[in-house]
Amino acid sequence: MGVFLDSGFFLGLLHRKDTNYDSCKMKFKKISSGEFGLIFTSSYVISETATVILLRTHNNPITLKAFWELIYGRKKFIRIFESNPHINTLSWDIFMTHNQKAKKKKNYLSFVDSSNIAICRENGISNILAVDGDFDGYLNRL
Amino acid sequence: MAVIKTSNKEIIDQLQAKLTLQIGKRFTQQEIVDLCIEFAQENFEELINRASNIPRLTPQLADQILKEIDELAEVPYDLSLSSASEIDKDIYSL
Repeated sequence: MGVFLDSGFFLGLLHRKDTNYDSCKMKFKKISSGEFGLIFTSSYVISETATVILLRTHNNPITLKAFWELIYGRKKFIRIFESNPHINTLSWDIFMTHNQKAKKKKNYLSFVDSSNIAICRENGISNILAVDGDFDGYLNRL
Repeated sequence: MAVIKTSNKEIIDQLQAKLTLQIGKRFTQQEIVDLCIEFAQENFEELINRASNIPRLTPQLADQILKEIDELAEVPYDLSLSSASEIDKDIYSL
């Protein structure tokens, strides 16, 4: 049970002009039913998402504030996993193991993505909302 | 063994009485606490929900959030950085 939200999902949800907006909106409604349990993300994902929003909106404070509201403000509904040495060690193991087998750049797994897998494994979270296939084989992508 | 204080001693007494009635066997309070810990471990998500003060997402809250996001449609958005793989490119130059 449980759903982990990745950066691509937040980005797709937060702007109608994003190519993933429609599918992210649909998935957001789906998880709001509670069918998949509680909703989680991590401080790494927040860091990554905030930075990309900054870039894509050319530093528009309104969209940044909308993101902040979802995470920490009046609209908050997400449990946030903070980084810790144990998770970092597990993430590093996944990061190294996966990338040693990756033959092409497109198959590389970022450290943040590795940490998403580590956090989900450690906390029994089986589902992820992501817009790419980086987690296929590790987690169930909704 | 560590000594743990609880403000819910009465609830443990009630659980002990209910379990004895239901199962027909008397559990010690230590056994009941151990069972509760085991149950919490197996239902960790629910434990997180109780321990944190963050509300659950509901269909009503989701609609409210989506309505507010709709209002951001006019904010400039750089579509040249629109695919998921571009996210990694932006940050990691992958």
